[in-house]
Amino acid sequence: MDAIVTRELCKSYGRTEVLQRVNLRVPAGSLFGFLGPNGSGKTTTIRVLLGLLRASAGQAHVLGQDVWRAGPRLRAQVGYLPGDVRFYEHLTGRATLAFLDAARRARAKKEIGRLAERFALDLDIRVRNYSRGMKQKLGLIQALMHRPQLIVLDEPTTALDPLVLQTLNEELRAVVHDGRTVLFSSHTLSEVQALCDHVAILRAGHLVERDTIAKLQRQALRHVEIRFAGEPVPTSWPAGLTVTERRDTRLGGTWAGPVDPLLRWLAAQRVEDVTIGAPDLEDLFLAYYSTAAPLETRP
Amino acid sequence: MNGALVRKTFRDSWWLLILVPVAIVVFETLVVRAYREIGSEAAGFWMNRPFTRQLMRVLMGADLGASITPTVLVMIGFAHPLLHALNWLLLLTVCTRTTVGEIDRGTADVLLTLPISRASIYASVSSVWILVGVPVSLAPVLGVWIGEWLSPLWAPITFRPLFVLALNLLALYLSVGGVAMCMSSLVSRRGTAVALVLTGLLASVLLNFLASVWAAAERLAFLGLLHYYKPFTAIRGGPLPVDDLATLGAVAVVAWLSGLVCYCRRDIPAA
Repeated sequence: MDAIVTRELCKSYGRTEVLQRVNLRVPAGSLFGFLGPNGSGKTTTIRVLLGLLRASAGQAHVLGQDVWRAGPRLRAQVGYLPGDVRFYEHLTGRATLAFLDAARRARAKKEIGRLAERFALDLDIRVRNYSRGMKQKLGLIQALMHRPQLIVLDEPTTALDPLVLQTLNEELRAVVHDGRTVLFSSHTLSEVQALCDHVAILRAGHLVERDTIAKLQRQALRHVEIRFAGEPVPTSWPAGLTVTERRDTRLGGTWAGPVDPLLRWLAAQRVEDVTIGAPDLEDLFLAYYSTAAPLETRP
Repeated sequence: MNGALVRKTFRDSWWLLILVPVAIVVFETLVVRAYREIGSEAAGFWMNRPFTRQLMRVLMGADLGASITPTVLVMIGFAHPLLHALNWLLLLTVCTRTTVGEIDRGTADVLLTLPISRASIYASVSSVWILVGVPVSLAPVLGVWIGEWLSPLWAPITFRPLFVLALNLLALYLSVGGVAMCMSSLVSRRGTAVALVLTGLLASVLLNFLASVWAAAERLAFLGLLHYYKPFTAIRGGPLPVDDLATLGAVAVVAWLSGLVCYCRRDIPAA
């Protein structure tokens, strides 16, 4: 079952099309990375999924329910951290969470205490006196405290220090371990790569890629550097090797796909030293982010 | 309705919800006290001066003539700009705080993703200002009663017409509140909503004023809400102003429902 399904989802403001026929599927129980450069339409997609915006065309279903029609029943099962989270400045963190808990009728006092301890947040300070990072922690607690089936986090790592980031990652892994789903929106590849098992990439309102991290890593390029033992560089090499540097006894380039054919070829050569780097998604993602790359809507 | 949201709305504006009725009571008490100081002869003298009569006609929408009784005098307190200003202050603050205010501040993203329907949010906020409308409308009557108790005038005040006037004031209060809720549902900036409602109210005041001195404006007077608030008619002990009450009630219901539909269907932009 999928936690989120959109079909041909479009959103436009006047003549400006922000989302164009987005077909997204987020498997239930996954930690799903939602990547894209700033202004690509990630937040708009999320706002449509949460019923804050109405789709211009297409359909959006969350936990099997139409996002616009399901209303409160659906939202009781969703936790959301907005990209630029704001709270009532005159309330303390505790009063804010108490209000949200009462409004949800969730009775999550115990979980609030646990999360506040985990994120090391003092709840007895007024929100107006909170730093940016403390507000972000408060936002994370309110998104997690009622143990929702789906957690939607829009740029959740903003202003968090590395220790809190580690705690967040642990909490999110525990959520997924419980069979619940996390949609993790970000424009930073490294945090998605470290945490998520699935990923979708949005660019200029189009979904340009949707796959598992493992599959993408198989497509990713490895940087390869070979030094031959006193012999000139061979004039032919396996098809998967793209040579970018060839000098004296050194050969440098990139390798795509499984390394087995490369290793077999190297075994037949007299090699003094070889370096095969880990699959680097950065190049792949930069290619997707690049405005020069052609846009292709995934079915 | 959502209890937590009703409590929060009360808590956010509690000082205003208490201050406005108390200020109205104090003001009306002081008005009665002032009339005692002036005395009946001086009041009658001033009320019969052409300039004062014209001024009263503008304020009350009717010529007081020579019928200067304590009940007629205290009616001036019911049409005083301070009374309207206090009512509008309360309505504009409460009606715009949640619907448009939360969007403006950026807190709507959290509020509107709670398991509360938008209709429930709208109704919860409305329940507060509608409920407070009763003490606010009765506050002038209580002020007059306290004023007469502390400093009796030369003749007793008749309270029945004052209750009719309080009903008329409540209808006006509800219609202004309904319009404020409607405007708050249409725009995304609180300042814009306040400016729109205030402009409409000031235009109504101006129209009411012009209608009393300029025949051409009289034909358009029906467009302003204040045209349907007639303290003098009520004080003269005439029949219940059913038409005025019905018009204000209809404006309140239509504006409130229009706001509800807009609020439930609108896009919530990021702050």
